Amino acid sequence: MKLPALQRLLMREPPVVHAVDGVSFTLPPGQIFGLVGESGCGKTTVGRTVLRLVEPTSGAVRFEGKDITHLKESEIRPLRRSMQIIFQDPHASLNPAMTIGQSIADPLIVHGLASEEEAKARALEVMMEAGLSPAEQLYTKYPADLSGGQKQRAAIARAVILRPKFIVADEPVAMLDMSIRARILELMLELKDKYDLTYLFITHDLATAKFICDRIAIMYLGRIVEVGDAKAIFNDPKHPYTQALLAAIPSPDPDARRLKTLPKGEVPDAVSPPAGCRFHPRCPVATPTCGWEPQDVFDLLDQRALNEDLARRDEAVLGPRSQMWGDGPTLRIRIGGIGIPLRQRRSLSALVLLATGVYALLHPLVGLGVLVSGVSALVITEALARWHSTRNSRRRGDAVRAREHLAEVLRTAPEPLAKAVRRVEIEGDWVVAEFAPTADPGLRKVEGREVRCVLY
Amino acid sequence: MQPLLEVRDLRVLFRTKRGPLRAVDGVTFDLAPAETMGVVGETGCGKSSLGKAILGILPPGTRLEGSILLDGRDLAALSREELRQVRGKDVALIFQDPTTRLDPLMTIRDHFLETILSHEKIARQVALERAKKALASMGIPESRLDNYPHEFSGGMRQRIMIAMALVMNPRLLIADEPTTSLDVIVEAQILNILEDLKRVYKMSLLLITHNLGIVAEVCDRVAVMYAGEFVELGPMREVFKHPIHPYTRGLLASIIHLESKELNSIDGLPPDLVSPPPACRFHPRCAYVQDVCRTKDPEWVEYTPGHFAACHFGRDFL
Repeated sequence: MKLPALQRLLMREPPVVHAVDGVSFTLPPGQIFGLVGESGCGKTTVGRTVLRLVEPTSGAVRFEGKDITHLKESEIRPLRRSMQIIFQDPHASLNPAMTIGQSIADPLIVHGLASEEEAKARALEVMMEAGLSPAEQLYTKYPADLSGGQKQRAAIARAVILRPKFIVADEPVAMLDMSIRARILELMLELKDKYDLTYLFITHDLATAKFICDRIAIMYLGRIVEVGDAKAIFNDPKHPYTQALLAAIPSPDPDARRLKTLPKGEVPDAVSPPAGCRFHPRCPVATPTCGWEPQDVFDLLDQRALNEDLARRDEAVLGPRSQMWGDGPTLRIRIGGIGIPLRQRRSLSALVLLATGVYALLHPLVGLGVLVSGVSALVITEALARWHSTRNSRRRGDAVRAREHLAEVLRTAPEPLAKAVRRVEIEGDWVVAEFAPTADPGLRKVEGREVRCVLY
Repeated sequence: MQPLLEVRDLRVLFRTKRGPLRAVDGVTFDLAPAETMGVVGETGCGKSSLGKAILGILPPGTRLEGSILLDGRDLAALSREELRQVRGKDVALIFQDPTTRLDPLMTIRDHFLETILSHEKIARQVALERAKKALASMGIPESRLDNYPHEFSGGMRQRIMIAMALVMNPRLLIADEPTTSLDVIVEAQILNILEDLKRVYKMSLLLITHNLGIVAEVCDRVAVMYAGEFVELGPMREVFKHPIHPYTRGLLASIIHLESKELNSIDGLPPDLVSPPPACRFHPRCAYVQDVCRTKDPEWVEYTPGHFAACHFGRDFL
């Protein structure tokens, strides 16, 4: 049983978020591999874990055949020369107190690869390659003096100055104006050819990914749901989530304008991801085998709450949301308030009488008064207990009503949920609904790619 | 039809150390009832300042010239107190980032009550009923009225913002990058809602965005803004299918979308609005620039009905 409030008091460690949950892919040299997904899907965490900027809980990262997962910081540092990163926000990734030139030359000096003069000469060269001209003049400028596009060029120049083999580009054009995105992407492609680079390209923008990536992986809630050749996936997306993402992109073609059918709701909380297929609560084609999660019931109740009548009935019979908990394939609803059970209440009264009696015998002077108060305490607790027992039987009635109501509500649920109901029963003060356990579909090979969906 | 909003020769001048910065420099347009107009342009073109000017929420010390007629009443001439009455009631707005626009210490109920009661002297209960209805229309149950902003997801917060904007039944809604901080699926959901608003509430919408895809999805008309000026204005379909101004053509070509065949961009940078280039402000970045572009202001010409552009060689691009 899970009681969130109690848990918070007793637990030493906060709940675990599986930001990335079992992601595997290989990246051949010279390829651009796209990691695509909405915010919170774990794509950035993957990118950083690959570079060991985030430590994985389990699993391995191999670079050029060498397992780098457990290398010490001092061992990984020389490798960082061949593995670089470009961040989304060039303004935040460039030191405002260093000139552009210093920022770009700095990696050479940090790694002890060049003297200051050599570093400057090399920086000017890379700046030219990155389209930062006139380089001499821009060398002494500060990030604040540059436009967003120029700053991103500087960040790219800084990443390539060490002649890396591999670059993680984390949303490199997301913060830039549309009018210059193409230039930055072109620059990245040019540099790739020139230096034989391999990119891990992280983006939420499928259109950009389509343009630049050889292979892509679509991520949802920490897992890859579809991975394969970029062309194949764009021409014929298989996973319903990939299809939804593609359909949702606003098209600049006025003729393509239409009201779209979209997945319901938003990405759920990664702390307690849906059981089974993680996309199933939003999936337009979900079946009972796809999965179930407590949130489905809460969503259903929210949906019903939009109708005043239903809202009043649900609230009256099932009680407030704060008394409902989802726990794996089980939903628990507490009926009535918190009270000490009748039996314990009786023994408590007896204990009070015994204690006051003993006290009265030992202190005869005040004994009488204490005895009187002891007896009255017994009478009061007895009365309370009797009142409690009538309330309890009423509560049992409530529980029966609640069970029937919950079962009825679940029957009206969308199919995947309604068909997954195994039993709805009363257990003490709780009404408990149990659902069929579900399993993650796993990645399956479909037409030259892998898809995590039971449809295939 | 009588326009709801008439903006005439609007200028917004920010005070800077280097002199006045002309964020909006002589913008004129009408907005009809129940019409959706998009304003597009790059960062710093003045599109947000235009929206703020109409709402009267420019920072103190900013100079505002020209007129903003809402149903014949000049908003530019109103006092701060009078503007407060108009804002939220007749003109409402939706911002880019709903997180920063909702008070983290106030429940949703308090947000609604404050909005409604500051405009109308009605009983709290009546106000609350209205809030519940507005929330329900955005798919948020009234049971969540006592939640705080952080208890909602990004898309829900934006729907709450829209519900708050709708609760006074304004005639004009100004949306400044309403979906920029949202994921693509949630963005599409919000766009569907905006589309519904137009149909159900007959509301006029001024949609300020850098995303031309969004404009194509929801707008009837579109204005392209460059360096504080409109360079093209017309029916959305016309502008997208037959753009006249080289800047509009450049913007359209630079969109990376699923059907893109090649990558295009506009070279150069938007100008400094303290000292913009003389004559046509786009001439330093224009691929078709001629001598006349550097010396003479282009005229605002109506090329086809309702389709205007400011380019010396507009005819050649027809």
